[in-house]
Amino acid sequence: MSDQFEKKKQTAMRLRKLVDDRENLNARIQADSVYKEKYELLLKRYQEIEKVYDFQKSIIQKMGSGLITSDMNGLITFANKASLKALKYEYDEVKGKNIKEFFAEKKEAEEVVDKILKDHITFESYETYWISKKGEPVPIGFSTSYIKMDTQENSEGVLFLFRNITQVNNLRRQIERMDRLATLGELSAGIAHEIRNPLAGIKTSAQVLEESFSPGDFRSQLVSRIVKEIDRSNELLKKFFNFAKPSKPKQEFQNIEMIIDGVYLLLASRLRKKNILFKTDFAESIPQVYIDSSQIEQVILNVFLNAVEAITNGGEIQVKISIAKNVKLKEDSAPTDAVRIGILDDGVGIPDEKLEKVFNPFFTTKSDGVGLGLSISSRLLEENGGKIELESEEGAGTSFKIYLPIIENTI
Amino acid sequence: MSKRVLIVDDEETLTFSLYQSFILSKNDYEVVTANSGEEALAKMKVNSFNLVITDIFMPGISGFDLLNIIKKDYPDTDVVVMTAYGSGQHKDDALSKGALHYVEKPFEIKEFKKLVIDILG
Repeated sequence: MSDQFEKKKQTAMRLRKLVDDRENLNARIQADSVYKEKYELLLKRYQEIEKVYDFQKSIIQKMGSGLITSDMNGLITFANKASLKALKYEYDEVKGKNIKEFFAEKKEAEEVVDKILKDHITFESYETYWISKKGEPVPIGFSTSYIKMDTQENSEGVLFLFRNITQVNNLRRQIERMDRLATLGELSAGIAHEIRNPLAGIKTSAQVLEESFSPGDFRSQLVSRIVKEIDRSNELLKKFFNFAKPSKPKQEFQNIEMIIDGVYLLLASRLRKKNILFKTDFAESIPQVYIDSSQIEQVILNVFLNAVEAITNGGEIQVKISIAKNVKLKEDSAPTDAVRIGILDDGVGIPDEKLEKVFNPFFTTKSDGVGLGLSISSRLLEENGGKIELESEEGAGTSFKIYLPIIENTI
Repeated sequence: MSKRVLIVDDEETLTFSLYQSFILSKNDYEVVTANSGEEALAKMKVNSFNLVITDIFMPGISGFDLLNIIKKDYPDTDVVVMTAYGSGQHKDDALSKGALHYVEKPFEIKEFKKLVIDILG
């Protein structure tokens, strides 16, 4: 009996244990599920933060503008990829460097950086020159703002946001040049008119007088000389007028290669005489350009003549035609594809101090030049929707790049 | 009846010399001159002209104004314009407004007179 009881008791206890174990298990499962939920929530938040961090990091590193941060002593704490590219430095080389060291002008660096760091003055689009690692001046425009460097309340820093403004400066110069030329055009038209009017009166009077003398009369010869001189003056005025105020372009779709070949033929004998080798490299399938062929011919001729003049004792002129993608032809227009005509010579080159002036009207380095060729070329290209760029190194040669927009030919 | 030509230009030397030239060449034309658009219109009210040769840029009534008035009020009168501005645009404008010819100043007197003879016969 007692055995039976003992057995029953043991069975009851086993059952009890099983029930207890099950209850414990349930409680553990419940607790685990709470922890799991919390863990998943935390993980999700972490992933979101990581995502935001990656996004911000990617924006900072991939943005076109240079971004540099410094502490309040001017020591650089961070520089993004665009800033390193613009200044040609590696990250480790700029970290810890003083921002003042980038400025081309030491005095300006002291003044400007002190204003930022000590006087808390912020700058908007401040334009200056910084120096790249290679020692080249880089025109930049920067803006500043103050940022919190970390979680500590008093840890402040400065953010420098900058852009290389070489292209902006080039466009500005181009516009100034165009403005000057437009003024010159108006002025020259007025002057030409005011001079040609009395010339017409003098010439007609002289010719009437000439008619009244017999042909052998010396007075007739004198009057004839007056007429000749008037004609010479008038021709000069006409040339100047046409140079300074070109007529509206009569644009048609044209093959630029044909224009270049035509100009080459005009100059072929001169090239031979000066022992100049003429090389061409025309890309295939160059689209036709919508231009006034006589105006663009004049441009190409002007640039060729400059190249010929630049070569003193034998040399080479190379002409390369290619397609340039996304070129900004005007400041207020969107980038567009263009036909690029590169004209490269290995002549004397142009010294830096003169490079800026070659497109100015009446600037010439030739003893017999008027100084209108390149300024008018630039003007004619603008009239035809294009532009001209110039690079030169004294003693090494000059490279002109002429851009003409590619316009879809729907005719 | 001789054909009548009116030459209009604010450049008095030019109108005087052209007048003398026509006198010298003994053409059967009656040449009258005016030194402004206003003077030209006043003379046109008194006499009719077969041909008016006018400068474009004059103070007051310009050559283009004169051309417009002549085409409206004197449709039988031919007009030739002349200018010292060497712009193709002015030529196109003048011809589109009804001018018969466009002469750029300064010109050859022989060619000028030939043009007049060609127009008037």
